[in-house]
Amino acid sequence: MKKIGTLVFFCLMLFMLPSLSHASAGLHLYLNGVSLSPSAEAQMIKSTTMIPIRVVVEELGFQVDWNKKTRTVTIHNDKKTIELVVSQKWATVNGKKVNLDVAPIIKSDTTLVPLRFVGETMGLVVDWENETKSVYLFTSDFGSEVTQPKPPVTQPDPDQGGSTGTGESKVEEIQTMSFEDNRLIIGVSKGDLKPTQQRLTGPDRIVVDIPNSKFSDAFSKTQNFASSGQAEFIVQDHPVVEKIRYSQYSDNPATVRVVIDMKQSQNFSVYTTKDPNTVVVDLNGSSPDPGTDTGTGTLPPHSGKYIVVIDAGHGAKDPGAISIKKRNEKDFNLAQALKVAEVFKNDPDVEIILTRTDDTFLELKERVAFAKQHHADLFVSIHANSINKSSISGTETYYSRDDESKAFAQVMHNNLVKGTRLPDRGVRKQSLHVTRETNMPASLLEVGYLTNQTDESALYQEDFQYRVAQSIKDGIKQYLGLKS
Amino acid sequence: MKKTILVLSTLLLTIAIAAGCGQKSADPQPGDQTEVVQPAEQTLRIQSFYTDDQILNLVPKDTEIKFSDAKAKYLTALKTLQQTDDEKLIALWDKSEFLSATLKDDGALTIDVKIPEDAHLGASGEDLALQALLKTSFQFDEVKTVDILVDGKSVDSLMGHVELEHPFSRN
Repeated sequence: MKKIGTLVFFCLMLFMLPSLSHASAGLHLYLNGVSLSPSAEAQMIKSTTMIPIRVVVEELGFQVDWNKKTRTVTIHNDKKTIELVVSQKWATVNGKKVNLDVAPIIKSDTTLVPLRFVGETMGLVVDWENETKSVYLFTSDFGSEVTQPKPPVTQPDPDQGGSTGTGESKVEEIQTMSFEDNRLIIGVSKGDLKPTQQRLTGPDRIVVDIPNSKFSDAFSKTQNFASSGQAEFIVQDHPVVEKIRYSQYSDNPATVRVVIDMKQSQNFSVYTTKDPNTVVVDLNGSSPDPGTDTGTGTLPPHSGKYIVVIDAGHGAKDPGAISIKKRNEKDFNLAQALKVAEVFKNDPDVEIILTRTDDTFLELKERVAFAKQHHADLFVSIHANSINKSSISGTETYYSRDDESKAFAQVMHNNLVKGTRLPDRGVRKQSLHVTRETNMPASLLEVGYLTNQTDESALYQEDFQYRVAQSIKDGIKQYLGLKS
Repeated sequence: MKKTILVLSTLLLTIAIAAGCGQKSADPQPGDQTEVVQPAEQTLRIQSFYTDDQILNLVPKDTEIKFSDAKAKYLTALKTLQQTDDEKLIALWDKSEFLSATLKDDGALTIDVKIPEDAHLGASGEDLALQALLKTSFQFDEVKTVDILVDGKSVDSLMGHVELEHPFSRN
């Protein structure tokens, strides 16, 4: 209990940090908001903060071995082992070689190691504040444990390291991640998660921890996690945001960390929404005190553009139908969806978001959740048809909900058949998951029959796909009342 | 208080004995039955479901199934969905395989299917194929629920357009 109290205190300290220390000649080190002893003797070398290995042991609590012969420093805890060699600009982390900006050095009989590298590798958050020449270090349990209010009565568990089954059942899933309209939108399986946020400088970045969460299997499959356990995507041509990185920061308690690397400092707010369940990091609003604004709210209407989710059907393990020439439906669907996004590029009114941009698989409900989480105005699923009768040919458009989708499906179909130039097999109502469970006008396009020779050879041609993409664009614009 | 416990435990004991006896006397019965019942072939007229060449509607058609073991009834019925003599109709399950169809005492029918990739249908084809399977199964009054497995696994969807319920109930 005392520990929680202390952590809460640390948490408060976090918000007070900027006013804590005033610039002076030396460097200041803080661990979880508490100043380390002035004898820490950190130094700057080529704008990298170096600390004596003694500090690593005494203040940060890691185990350190020093081999005088090989001049090797080994720093380890139960999970990670770092080996650094004096004057070598590389190190190994659990046996894997990584490059360093600055090599460890010996100065007046003290071995100095790069603080950020050591700290971050060992799981600390390292924040440099230039004005005050201060380094703020935070332990991983600092952020996440505070936000995980454990009823003290039911938590007499002294076994802190072991994974107890109790917490696992409550772990929620991170399902989607996208950046649009100056917002990072993280789709989650439950609405009332309690994200914590930190704003760090040098370089500027925003760190959001989502306690009690892990990446869903489906999401993980679509991501390229590096060996460090981190995946990232680059936000193209954004004035402020460089890229977004995320990882399973901690397994116990399960915590997902998302870092937005910024080109410059920017005010932001973090909030959660329910149905769709999201955690939003919003760079639009200038919150007066970004340190404390972990409030809940609803997603404000997106500024200006209509959001249209284009869903390429099937993917990865699910090839969809197999064409008469043994080509996969999933490949047509993706190529066609990508072309729709392409013809909409730089459109002033419509923003296209794709459920998948490569050969990955999403369950039907994940496609629906994706559209809801992005607050899509329209949803279009792209498919190609198949039936065991090769004479059947043509274009069909499906919808499920009369009130919301019938008119949309009709407009889409009228345009689509002009694009495909295949027989018009009509607009059909059918109970399909993605068109039924979405809550915006939704249609599913069966562009043509892969089991028909004429349709099949057309569908895999570039010019056909561009023509269809343009017809889909025309349909969307017509339905939205926009000039095409 | 003590009296209540005594009464209760007596009651429980009685139930336990009764249940035990029931089981014992029931046990030999199935054995007797198999001796008595000849493996005579049964013929049954059922409805099988297909679609029209517009792939718009489910079309029922009377078919005849023959089976000797009562347990084989459901699998035999489902296999009628794999072909039809009627040229105007399309058999939606022609390239798929029905591996098993087992009915439990509580009316839960579990159907295990194999769907090769080249049997994947479009949106309406999948929906109609699913409806055909369910209607064919639920025409037997004793079937209360239908759970469809693909290669023994409980999956979200057969062909990626329509979700499966595990199990489907008679509506």
